[in-house]
Amino acid sequence: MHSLMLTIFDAFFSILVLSILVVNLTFITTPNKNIIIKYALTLYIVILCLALSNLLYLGTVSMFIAIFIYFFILYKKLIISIVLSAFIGIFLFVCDAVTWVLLFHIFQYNYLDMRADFTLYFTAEILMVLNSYMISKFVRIIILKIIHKINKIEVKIELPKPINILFIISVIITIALFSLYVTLSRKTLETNDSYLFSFYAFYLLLFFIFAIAVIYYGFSTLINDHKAKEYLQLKNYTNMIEDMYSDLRSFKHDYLNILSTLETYIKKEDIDGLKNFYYKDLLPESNIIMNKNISLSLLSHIKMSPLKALLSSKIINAHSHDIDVEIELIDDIDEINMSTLDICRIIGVFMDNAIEGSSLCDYKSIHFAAIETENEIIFNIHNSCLSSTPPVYKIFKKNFSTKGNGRGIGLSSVRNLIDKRYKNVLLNTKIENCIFKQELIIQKK
Amino acid sequence: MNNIIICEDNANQRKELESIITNEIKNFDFKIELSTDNPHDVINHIDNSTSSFIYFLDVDLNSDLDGFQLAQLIRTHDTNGYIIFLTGHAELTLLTFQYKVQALDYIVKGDINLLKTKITDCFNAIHNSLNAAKTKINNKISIDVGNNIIFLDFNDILFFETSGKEHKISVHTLSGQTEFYGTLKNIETTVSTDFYKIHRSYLVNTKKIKSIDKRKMIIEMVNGEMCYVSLRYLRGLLTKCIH
Repeated sequence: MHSLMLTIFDAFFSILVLSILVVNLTFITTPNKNIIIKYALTLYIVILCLALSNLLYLGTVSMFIAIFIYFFILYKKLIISIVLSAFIGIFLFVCDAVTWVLLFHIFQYNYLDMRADFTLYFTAEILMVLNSYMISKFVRIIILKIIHKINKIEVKIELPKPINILFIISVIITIALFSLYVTLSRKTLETNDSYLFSFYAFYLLLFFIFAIAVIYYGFSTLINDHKAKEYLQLKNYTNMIEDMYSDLRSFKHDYLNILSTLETYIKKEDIDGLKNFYYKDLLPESNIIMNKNISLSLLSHIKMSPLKALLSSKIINAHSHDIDVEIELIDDIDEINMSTLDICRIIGVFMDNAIEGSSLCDYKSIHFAAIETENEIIFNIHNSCLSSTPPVYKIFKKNFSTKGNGRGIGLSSVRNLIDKRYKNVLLNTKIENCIFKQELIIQKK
Repeated sequence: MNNIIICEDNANQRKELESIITNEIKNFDFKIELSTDNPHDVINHIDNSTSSFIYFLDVDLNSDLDGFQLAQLIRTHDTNGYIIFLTGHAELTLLTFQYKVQALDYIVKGDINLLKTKITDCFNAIHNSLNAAKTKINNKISIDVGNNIIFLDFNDILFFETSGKEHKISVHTLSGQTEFYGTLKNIETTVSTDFYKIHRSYLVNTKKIKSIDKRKMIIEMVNGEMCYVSLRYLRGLLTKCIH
């Protein structure tokens, strides 16, 4: 009867500890508490059944499988779920180890005494829960700090291919060791404490190796992704400059042609022909050239290359949609109190929407302005829009778009991004007289 | 009464501008106080005066100060005045001037008819804004958005909502939404009695409510936007709306 009670407690507390770890060590999305509770309950029943039929080591394996299924449902990615469940499994050893080391080596308790004394065993289990909570919280804080340091990039752990096999093998080893531990420890514990100690030391080592591996591979791929994106934008920008240069060359060529045409009119003293040529051909053409070149050269005021590249490609895109783009840039914009990736994402969404919105109108125009005042940097994007444009709050709803599903994710994700990460950024949106106005105010430090 | 100061370096254009303005201000309570080509005269003049003015400034002044620098100096003396820029070339800087020196408008010279209509528009805008300032206490709320202070009519506001955790308030109007820093508590004390707090994070204009769903605890505003009501405030809201 006594040992049955202990088994029930044992199972209950290990499930509790496991749930705490799952909640604390999921970084990618917020953990789904409903699913966790459901899993914890089923697990509890499964482990109890197994424990009652003296097959406890199967219960520990089923714990891993359950966590794995939970992560798989959440992320839909095999590798991430395997790695995370293994990580949590090893974490469980560490918490277990810390607690028992505390009890055996500092308080000098004996395993047999503990099992005999019900209250002592109960306190030990509670200590275990507290320990695991504190350690996992601590690790969580450290990992989040590291993430923040890496330029506030959204966390998305993806592992490179050759590492996969390594991880799967280590997971199998982990599970095997854990089952071994459970079956063996019951015997060895009673005889040899130092053996146990080395066992724990081994787990601790394994844990650190795993933690470092997860962090290292996760973030190195992140950084590479980020760099690849920046490189691509820079490449676009170089391409744009090359295009401009070839434009200039063709302009030189045209210019010579124009001069020689003028010369022929002058030689013939055909003043009517000259007038005709000037007003009908030359003037409209030169207006187009002037507008196009002025707007792009103003972008040199933006000193952040990724943002400059993004803007130039969006403006060229707008030109190709026959949209009249006005750019207002007087101040040099060299530092923004936001991560480069985020400001590019936000401005990109705004420009895409402006292009999409204004291209529906008869009078297609976009007005872009970046202004630096004493305390803030302000981005202003105005575009012409249809009078039938829905109200602003609808546009900010998830999955909203005037062009069917899936295209309206932009604005709602911008809203989320700002609300979550930037208390120094204000976003104002208005529709006035068929002009859609976005204003992004970024406070300086 | 607001007087007008003109600063324009080209004598012909100044004459022209003066004649347009004298023609336009017949309908309003304004008069030309100073017309000069020297920006330093403007500074000296407002230095010795305490009232605020309406300024018409050329951007290129042929002096050590250009129109924009002059406007910045003016703003250190006269924060409430109205500044209108005039320029010969079409390089676009309206928003920059609006944000930096709270310029009212930016007029490209050249087309005399356009100049006339633009100036009329400016006087109308100034007139309205002066009137609004007088009645400000009754039906307007002023909010700091970045460098500028904007006034919102209570009748245009649907509701205030806290956004995020950082003391950011988002005010929803029929035309859109504007964010600023503040707390609902402070706003509650400044708005009219039509506003009612229906939730920890919502302060709504009861005149703009379209329907209340008592069962789902949701109210719908006139534009179709939804807000949540908390049980605590539901009864108060209902009595307020019925009366």
